[in-house]
Amino acid sequence: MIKMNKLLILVQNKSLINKVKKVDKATFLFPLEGYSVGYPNTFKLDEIDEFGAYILVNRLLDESSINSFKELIDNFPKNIKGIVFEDLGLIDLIKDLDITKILWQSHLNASYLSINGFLKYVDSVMMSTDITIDEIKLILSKADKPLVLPVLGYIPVMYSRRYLLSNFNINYNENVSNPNTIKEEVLKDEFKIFENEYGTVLYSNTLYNGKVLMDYDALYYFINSVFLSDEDIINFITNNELNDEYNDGFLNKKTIYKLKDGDK
Amino acid sequence: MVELLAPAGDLERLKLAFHYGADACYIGGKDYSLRANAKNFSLEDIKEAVDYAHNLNKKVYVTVNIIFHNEDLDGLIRYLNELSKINVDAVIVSDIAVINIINENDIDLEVHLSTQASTLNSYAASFWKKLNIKRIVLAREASKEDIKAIKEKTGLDLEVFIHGAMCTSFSGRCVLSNYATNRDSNRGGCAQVCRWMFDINGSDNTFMMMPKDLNMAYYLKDLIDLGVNSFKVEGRMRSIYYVASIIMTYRDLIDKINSNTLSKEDLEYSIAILNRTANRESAPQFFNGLPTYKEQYYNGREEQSNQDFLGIVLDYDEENQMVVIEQRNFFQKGDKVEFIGPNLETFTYEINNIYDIDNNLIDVARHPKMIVKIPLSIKLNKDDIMRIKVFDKNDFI
Repeated sequence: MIKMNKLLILVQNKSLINKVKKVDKATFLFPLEGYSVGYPNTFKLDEIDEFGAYILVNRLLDESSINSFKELIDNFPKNIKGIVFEDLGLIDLIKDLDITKILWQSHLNASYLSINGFLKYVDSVMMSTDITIDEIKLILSKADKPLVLPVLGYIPVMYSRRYLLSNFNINYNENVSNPNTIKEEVLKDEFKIFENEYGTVLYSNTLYNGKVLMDYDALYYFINSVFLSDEDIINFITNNELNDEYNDGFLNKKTIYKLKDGDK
Repeated sequence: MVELLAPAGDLERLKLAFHYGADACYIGGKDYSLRANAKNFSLEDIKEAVDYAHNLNKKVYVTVNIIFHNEDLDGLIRYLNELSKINVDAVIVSDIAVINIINENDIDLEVHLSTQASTLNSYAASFWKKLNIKRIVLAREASKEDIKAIKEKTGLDLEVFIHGAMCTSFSGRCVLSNYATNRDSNRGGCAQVCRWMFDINGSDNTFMMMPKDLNMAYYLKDLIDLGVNSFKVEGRMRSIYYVASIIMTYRDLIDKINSNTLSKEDLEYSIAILNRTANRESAPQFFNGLPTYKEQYYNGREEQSNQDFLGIVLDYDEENQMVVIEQRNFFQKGDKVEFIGPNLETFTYEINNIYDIDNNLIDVARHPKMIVKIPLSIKLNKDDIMRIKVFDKNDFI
């Protein structure tokens, strides 16, 4: 059962919005131009006309960038209902804004104590995609506020400040496409890769489907639409089959802590 | 006075790092440390390390810097209390859970924020300062402008990496290892997937992401002027030779900066030694702006292994003027070597004779850790090092 009014859908193409609205209502998250990384399409504040929209600020911000962001706050649009952000410097900067604040620190919050630590300062935290469903259930049972659960998308697995594709092109005088896919030469693991002015992000190459998490209460269920078509997303929320191959990430696969753990 | 902070994967390295000039060492316990597969320190080892350091008026910081999962929280309070009792000088943490536990339980521990938090701006630094963080280990991506602003606006102690391997990613923002090998990079299992080779669509060339190492030797004075409190060297899993050579070189550079006696030749010679010791090229990386395509590798591991580390001094027989050496790499009669040590002016020496432990004359020292004696009129100290003579300081004048 899809809880449509609790879907938080990252927007890459505005065409998606009306298609979703024909099915039911959801909340839309727009990567903010100049302040987001890993998304081919980003949006200026004045390009976001959706009422109740959220903005994504997922860059780690240097001193100059966070000072620039501070200027945006003075004229914050009324239609923006919330922010999903990574840099802890924003906590104090946005504390007086009457919007919902969601912390998304990629891979850093993996325990209930860590998440509750940050819930003193924000309204919600995005659940890690690196932990098992049992770990998630315990966190949900102990969290002081409702959390955001990722349920669909390609998972960001690495964020670099370096220009990894441009560097490659310059070094070899080539012009490989951006986004692209890289494949490890021995194990054959593949990753999607995208670079913008603020760095390079690698994504898992297999679609993550965590629909099982929609059995648990949450503030939002998050759909990361990057590299997905509108049809993929509509299929997911209307309970139709996904076109792409998918897995459930680490929901049922525990990572190894120390090498000896692998022998157990 | 700026602190020189050395990595120590075990007690041997810790003692050697102090011997070669480190003011402080950072170490990992058996649990909760990001180098899960290093030898690491038991609580007894940590106590020995702290007692050893404090006797020298030096410091020991303990990393508790994994990203905690629920199951890792069990025993954490007890462990932190133990570290407090041992009187460690600080813990280096990245997870707010640890910080809150220390604050809420009134555990007497100074807390340093790990580079895993990737702090790049003064607002983030202020957030942590309110949680009683005493020192921040800045993101390796911090520029001089970022460092200046954070220092000026927060007054926090700042620690910056000055040397060693770089992650391709922002620290903590990478789980490539989890996806490629199921090893948890944020709990010490990083398989360094970013150093592997990839194919990329649209090209026959190999795609690599591996950065060259960090080397801030040219900018130590700038960092001191910016108010940086601690210079950190990466490498808890590095060899004893690496620790000794790198720490001795930076000790020399810092002391010469402090006494205003550093020459261009000193600097160039030191940088040659630093690069040779690491076997990799290096660059200042983000300090002066974003790295370009020149600050990374493209064709596999463009590093050349060397066997520079020939032996470590165990003893010196003054009566017979013989130095007793434990062999670490092959050497033979006729080799041109040099001896280095913290209380020694580096000197060159051509090996004329080698004796085994029973005083038999031999031509080569071929067996790892074999004990040999070499006639030498200059008195050496325990833990001085013999290495291949590669550079001559005069070449840099």
